[in-house]
Amino acid sequence: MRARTALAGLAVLLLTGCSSFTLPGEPPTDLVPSSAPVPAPSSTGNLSPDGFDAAQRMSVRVRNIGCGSVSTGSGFAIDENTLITNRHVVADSAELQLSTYDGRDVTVATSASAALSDLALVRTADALPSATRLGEADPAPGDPITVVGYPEGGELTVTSGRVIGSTPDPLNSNLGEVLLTDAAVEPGSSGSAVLDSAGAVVGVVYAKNQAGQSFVVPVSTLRTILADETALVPTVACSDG
Amino acid sequence: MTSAGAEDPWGPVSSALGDTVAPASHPSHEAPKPPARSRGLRIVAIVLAVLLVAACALAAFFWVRSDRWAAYAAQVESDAGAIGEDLAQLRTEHDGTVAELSTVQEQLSASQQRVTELAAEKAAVGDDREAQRQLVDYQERVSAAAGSVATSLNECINRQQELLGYLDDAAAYDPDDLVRFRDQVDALCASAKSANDSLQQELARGATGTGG
Repeated sequence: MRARTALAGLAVLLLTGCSSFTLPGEPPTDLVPSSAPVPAPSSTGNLSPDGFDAAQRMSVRVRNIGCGSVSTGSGFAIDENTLITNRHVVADSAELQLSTYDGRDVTVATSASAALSDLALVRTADALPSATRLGEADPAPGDPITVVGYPEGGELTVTSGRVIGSTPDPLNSNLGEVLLTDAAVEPGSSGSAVLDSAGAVVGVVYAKNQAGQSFVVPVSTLRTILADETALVPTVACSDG
Repeated sequence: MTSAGAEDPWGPVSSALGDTVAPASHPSHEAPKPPARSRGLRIVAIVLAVLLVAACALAAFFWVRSDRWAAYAAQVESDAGAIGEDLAQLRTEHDGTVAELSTVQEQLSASQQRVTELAAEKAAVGDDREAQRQLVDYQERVSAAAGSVATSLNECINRQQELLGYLDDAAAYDPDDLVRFRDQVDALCASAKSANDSLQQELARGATGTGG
């Protein structure tokens, strides 16, 4: 009985130790894996070779040389040769002069204004550095927005805010309702693009009130104007007479 | 010799002499060991010997295996050490690259800010240039207007002096002619005065303005 028990125990030991009987093969010549996991980038980085983002590159400074006056405003490109600004920015001008975010001058070909909204369209003879896309819908109250323009004719400036709501145009220059935001703007910001969090244009700044709130022509109005060929009429140059 | 009345479990045993004898049930002295026990010991000895041999073989095997695994581990450790050195070097290079990238990003940001400032400065220079151009145009117009007004006023003075000369010798001239000439001089002087008033108002208002 004891012998059988001993024999059984020996058999168990041998079976469990079978794996211990393996001999090592040749050592690996290279311990570095051929395919390693690629780390995900921590940020998307800048979108252009010069480091400026798309919102800055699409912004244009407008100089209105009138008959006895010089004024400035802002605009933004929607394609290579078209920019949007306010009607009052290009009104009563003898000459329009454009400059880009990096100081390049762009020659104007033609300009046209809308009769029922404070919007204008300017065609350029030279190519604009970058263009943006229009949003599909107007922003809702509470949505974050970004304004890119040239307040007081100074440096290209980016400000942020939120949509407060919609209101009838206090200046009666726009048919229908306009948007009210708390983004900071100044004279010279007229024509600035209003962007949503995805970088699409959702409005055009055209005025401000004493409370520091800004009035914005919604993108739905802009789309309506652009879709109607008869909505825009060529601007009339001023005369000294 | 068989003890009377004893039960033999093994039964009768045949001796070498042919007589049948029966084992004693209560021996009074040590009996010799039976042959079966010695066979058992032999078997045990054989088994132990086999086990000993097997153990020795197993020990030799494990010795060799241990040696080989030690060599394997040494080789892997050596390779790992080399990889570790490479990793340390790469980490140092990576840290340097990250620091350099951070510096480059700061420089890029500074360059972008400078580009923005220069663009604004250029635009401001352009605004000033256009304002100066309008001012120059305005001054040229004002100068031209002032010259025209001065000429008109001078002509008015001359005609008034001429009229005074005629009036000093009024009897020598037709009264109707004198009245007509006086009316012409009055109209000329009124026009000169009106032009002068307009010029004065324009000068008071100033040249150009800037707004947005």
